[in-house]
Amino acid sequence: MTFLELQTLLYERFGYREFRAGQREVIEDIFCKNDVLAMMPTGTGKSLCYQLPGYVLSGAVLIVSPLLSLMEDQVEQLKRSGEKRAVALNSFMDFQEKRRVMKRLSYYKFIYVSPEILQNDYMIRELKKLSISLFVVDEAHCISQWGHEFRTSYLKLSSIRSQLGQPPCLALTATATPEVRKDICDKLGIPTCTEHVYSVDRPNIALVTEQHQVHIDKLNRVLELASSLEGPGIIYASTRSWTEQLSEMLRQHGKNRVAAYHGGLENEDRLLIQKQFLNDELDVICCTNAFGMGINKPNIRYVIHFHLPSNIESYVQEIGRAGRDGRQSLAVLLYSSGDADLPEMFIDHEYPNEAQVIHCASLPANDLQGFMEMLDRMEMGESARRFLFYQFEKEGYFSNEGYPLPKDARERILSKIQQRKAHKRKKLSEMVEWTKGDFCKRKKIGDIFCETSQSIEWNCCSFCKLDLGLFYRKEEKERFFDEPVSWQKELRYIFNQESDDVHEKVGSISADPANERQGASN
Amino acid sequence: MNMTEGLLLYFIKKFNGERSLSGFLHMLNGKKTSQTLSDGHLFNVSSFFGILPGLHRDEAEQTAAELLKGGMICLEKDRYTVTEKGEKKLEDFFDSHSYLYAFDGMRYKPAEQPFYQMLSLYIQSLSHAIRNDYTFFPVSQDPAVLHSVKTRFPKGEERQREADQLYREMFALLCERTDIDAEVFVLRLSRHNRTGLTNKQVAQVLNIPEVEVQLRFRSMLHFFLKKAKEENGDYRVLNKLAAGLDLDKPLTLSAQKTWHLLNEGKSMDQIIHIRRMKKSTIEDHLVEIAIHYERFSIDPYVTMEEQHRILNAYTVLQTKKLKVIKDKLEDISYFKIRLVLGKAGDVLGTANPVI
Ligand SMILES: Nc1ncnc2c1ncn2[C@@H]1O[C@H](COP(=O)(O)OP(=O)(O)OP(=O)(O)O)[C@@H](O)[C@H]1O
Ligand SMILES: [Mg+2]
Ligand SMILES: [Zn+2]
Repeated sequence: MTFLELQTLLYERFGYREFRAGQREVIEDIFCKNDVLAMMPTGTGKSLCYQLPGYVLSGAVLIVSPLLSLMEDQVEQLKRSGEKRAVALNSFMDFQEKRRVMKRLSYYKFIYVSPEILQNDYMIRELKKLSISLFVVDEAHCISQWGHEFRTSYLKLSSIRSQLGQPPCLALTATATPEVRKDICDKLGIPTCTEHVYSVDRPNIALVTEQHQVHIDKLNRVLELASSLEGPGIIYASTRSWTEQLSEMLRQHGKNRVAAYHGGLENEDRLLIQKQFLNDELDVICCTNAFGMGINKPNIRYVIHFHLPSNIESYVQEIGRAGRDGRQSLAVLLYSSGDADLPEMFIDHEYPNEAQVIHCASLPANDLQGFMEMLDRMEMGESARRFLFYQFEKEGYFSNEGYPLPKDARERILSKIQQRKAHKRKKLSEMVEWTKGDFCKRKKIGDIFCETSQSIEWNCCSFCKLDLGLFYRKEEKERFFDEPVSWQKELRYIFNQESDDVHEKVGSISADPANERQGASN
Repeated sequence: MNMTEGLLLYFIKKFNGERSLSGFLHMLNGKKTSQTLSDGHLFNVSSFFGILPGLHRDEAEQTAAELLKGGMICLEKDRYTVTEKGEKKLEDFFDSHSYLYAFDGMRYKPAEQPFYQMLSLYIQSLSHAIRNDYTFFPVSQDPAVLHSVKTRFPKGEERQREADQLYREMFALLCERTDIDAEVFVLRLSRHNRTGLTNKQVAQVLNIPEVEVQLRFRSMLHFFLKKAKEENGDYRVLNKLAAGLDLDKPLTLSAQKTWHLLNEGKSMDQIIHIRRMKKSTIEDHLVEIAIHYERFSIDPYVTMEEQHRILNAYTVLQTKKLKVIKDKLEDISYFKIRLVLGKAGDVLGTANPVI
């Protein structure tokens, strides 16, 4: 394909005139059937790197994605853009639905899967019947982050790819240090891949860190920022109850267009809140990191971290939700002493403790089911449980029925835990250092990723001087549901009933008071 | 009185000291077991089955303690009964929560969620399609729901007509309810230019407690389902949306299997053998079946004479405590007593029901 043809396709299929940095290079490599590792900053259009080739390659594109919600969002985005041949397959689909989809699998062009569902033999058999032209691993840093510990399905991707006829592999990520990139290539079995590495830097996001004396100062500051910054914005906190508290506090101070979002909500509520945010019906969303991946809202103006993320990669990912439209945006990290305790505790809880490992190892092995149930009864978090389970499996515990785990295997597991914890603590202290240090924040992120990012002239970071006033809101937004509700009027509007017996005209859309709830942004 | 207090008080009244708190917690939570199914029937509380799905034991106990402190119930031998003051309060409670009369958990709880998902996506799509706007974010991502909506969705010209019809259906139904119920209902729906609100957000807008919003909304769903089914001709669109939902399956799954075998003419012993289950389990199933299926005859299991003695004892003793009845009728098994009371449930249960 000539460049001109590519550009025509880009415009006709996606409506874009120009490729963004890196897209064209990656796509051309894919057409040469090379394996590719592409690192491009958050929100700059990595999806296009496999979507566009999808229209040229004869077979289907298989995309391995770490999160159910991410897969669903991407399928939805494709459908919105008029591509119906997209589907997400995951272990949670009910039987009937799965059968319906599997029967017409060859119809689909873009097939999203979780690494776990690729462990299923039936699934592999069905996929083998298709021709897969491209094997994509999205958010590929997850291999390194989770693959070793409890999502070991990630480690089997390379053998699955060869079962599927060794289609070219495209690994995508926004945040991977050279060390992680090497790990990705190893685990995926693509040692000779072409690497396209772009800086993680997002020049349109100004980076601010603030240190506060005590916790309460942070609360006041969040309130102040949320009341004065131009939205929409995201406030990240690290626990469910904090997201609720923050949103309640903002509401009590008259900010009505705020909601909390976290994994503890009913699925139905989560979807509603997400859609409200996407439709600009909310200004602020207070959330845990359950919110974010897959959210492709172009106009997010700020991301505030009320709590410290556990490493700089996560931080870069999370602030990457801001400014996808390319406009100037802001990231603020609020810190007060003792803030590292919480992530520290999370690190501890992610792994089983020594006593638990020793106890489990002393039990004679029996069936998997029984072992899982026993783990359920012990007070361990989900990830600690899965870690322990997979480590035992790896040590061959279950194939040695009736015997406890040998001592040397047990020691290996214990030292692995020590290693992983030490590694994570190191990442955490790097994060703390970054937050507190007197240096250009942007340049420092570059250093961590072994890049040569430089400070920028305007709106760089809190060290390089920055005028927060630029980010303040110019005008007040309308409030949420100030008018009394009339259900008759609502109902008429829903179904487009222009007038009714009472001669009360609903008239045009803009005459509907409900419409004002949409705020100024519509 | 808050929702949990009111509903708990109501259950205490209905069970009238014949079950312990944990005995009806499952009922409130909506856990289908032989016990809750037969109790629901026996004490005439089936309609409130699953009305407080998230209620925890601790919370229930704490609430009971509050009620006790407020003098609305009294405690005797580990069993609660309602005081006169409690009766009065309960009346007030139902006066201000009259929407609860429409709640029918036993019948509609399983269909609630699927019906809501379907209705809201259908309305959202319709509201956009009639304005030729196809770029909205669907409020459901569940492929099964998307598929069901798609197969029922009208084409081109028919869309506005469908909207007119659904408008008439919903308008008629909402008019039968209070304004607050109707407001709750429409605010939960997504339409062109507005995403539906969560229960919590509706509570904030209308300034009422979140549980109340939830129950008003669920009651409305039950009401819609009932109407959609009952008056088929008048509610064409709603009927179409409710079709195929899992309604009217009162039995536990396991009891359903037993029921199928009975219908194939298998005897109780054969069923025990075929299903490799304990006798007592199959007995539980028969009690469930006796409660729910008119055409199931208990005569092969209890003689006429025994049936008379059991009903007699019940009328004299005026209790549904099996133990008390059993003590009186030494030679008759618990199974037979439960079977007879279950079969007679409707007749027995009508004494002064609040609902
Ligand atoms: N060439 C282009 N010109 C203009 N916009 C583009 C171009 N390519 C992609 N986009 C838009 O950029 C946005 C972000 O794209 P995408 O979701 O693929 O980002 P991403 O790199 O995968 O981000 P993340 O790291 O968060 O997953 C989308 O709205 C997409 O339509
Ligand atoms: Mg992406
Ligand atoms: Zn700087």
